Amino acid sequence: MDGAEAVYIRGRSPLTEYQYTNIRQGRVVWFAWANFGDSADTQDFEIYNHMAASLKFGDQSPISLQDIYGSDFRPNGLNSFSSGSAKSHHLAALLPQRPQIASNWWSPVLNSYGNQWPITCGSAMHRNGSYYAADVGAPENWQVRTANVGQVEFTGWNPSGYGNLVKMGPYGGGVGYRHYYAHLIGITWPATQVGNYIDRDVVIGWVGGTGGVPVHLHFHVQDGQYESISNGVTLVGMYGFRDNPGDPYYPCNDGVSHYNCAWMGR
Amino acid sequence: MNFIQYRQVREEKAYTCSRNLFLVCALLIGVFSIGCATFRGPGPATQVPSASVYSSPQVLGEPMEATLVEGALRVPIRCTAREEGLVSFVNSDDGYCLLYPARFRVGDIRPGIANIYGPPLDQHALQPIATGVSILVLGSAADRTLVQIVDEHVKPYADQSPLTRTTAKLGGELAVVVEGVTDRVGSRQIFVIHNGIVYHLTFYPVDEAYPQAASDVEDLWKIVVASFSFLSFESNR
Repeated sequence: MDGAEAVYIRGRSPLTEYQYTNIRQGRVVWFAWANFGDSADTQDFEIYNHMAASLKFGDQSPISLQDIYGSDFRPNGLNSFSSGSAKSHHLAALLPQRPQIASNWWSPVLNSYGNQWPITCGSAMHRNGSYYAADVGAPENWQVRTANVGQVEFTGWNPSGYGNLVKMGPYGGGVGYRHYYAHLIGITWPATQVGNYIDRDVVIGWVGGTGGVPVHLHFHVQDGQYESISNGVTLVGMYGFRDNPGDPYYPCNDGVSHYNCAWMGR
Repeated sequence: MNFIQYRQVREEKAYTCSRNLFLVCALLIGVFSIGCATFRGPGPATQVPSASVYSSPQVLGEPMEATLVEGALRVPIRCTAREEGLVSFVNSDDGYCLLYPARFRVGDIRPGIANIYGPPLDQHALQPIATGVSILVLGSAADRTLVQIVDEHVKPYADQSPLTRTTAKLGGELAVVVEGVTDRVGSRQIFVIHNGIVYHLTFYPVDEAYPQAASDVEDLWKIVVASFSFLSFESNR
């Protein structure tokens, strides 16, 4: 933000959902934050994003938080808000370093009161040889979350039918898993900036129907040249087909169209 | 924020008045426009009259009639739907107009972006095969040539082969056509610079994997490229 490294943190406090940014300018740590209730909507996030994007440092340096809290202060110490009953998912979303990609991929959508969203799969648009993708029937404006860590390789309008797309790739580019989140109705920080490192389970946008399709989330993980959500990927929060007990679940394994053949949501 | 205001008037829902009645209507509109319009300068940041979309060949049959529309916006004759089954799309915010097949629809319009989507060609509920064109206004060309802009755009796809380039005309300007880029699907893309602004159209799928879409995408290509025109804004003083 304003040219300084930032750590984006989001989670849920005992009282409400919160979201703030920790900006390090030299040895000074700044915080910008917003409190969102459960009813937070696209506009709330847009306001936050606007605030974050427009932040400018003044001429006067404040007292650093290390001065206040001690030299051992660490940004991740902020991830201590939780309560016994509240669902806690504290995230250092915009990562200052490059963590290893997690072996388990998480469903990019949460469930709704325990109910998963149906996946319609086997679309010919996602089947060319041996690649597949999941079309998740989550409702419009449902949060879309990163399924794994990665670096934003593309964000914005894709002119070949993905609509609003976030494409995540391996750190520094090169060979590795790439994950696609398409047809989004909106994209939010930190996924709005190519190059940002983003942690797993960070909200990057909302389900939509952009690109000329009915409302749904297109999600796939690409390893090499193939779209796949089964190619060596274990996806937590997806339920449906599997060839053998113990195999990871994946929605389509026979190249034939299926409807509501699997479910996603955790 | 400028929102594009447009009306889609389908052939079957077009004017029911006779040609003579239309001429009277057009005359009244013209008089009204001349009386009300203020000067509109060119450029994407300029406030422009609301866009209009018409489709009736009976209505806009004469060139002089076709170029006189709301306010000071001059719509080229090529953008007027003079044949059955065509619809005109006038994007005054982004400064262009075109025709498209009536079975298609306009969607996802926002500043710098407009899309025309074809009907689904299979029964898949959420992700049917469908043809489309995405029209992007990429902003100022700055000091770059059209070739340089195309080079930058296709660089990420350099390992895809074969990428072919040809030249064409779009809106009266020299354009570069690129085929072979496969992103979500294979596409045919056309780049053009007009008044220092880069326009980029992507037609999809142009891809052997989707033969069922070949007819639709070729129809769309021919109609859009033949009709695409840049708008001009003139003073009504």
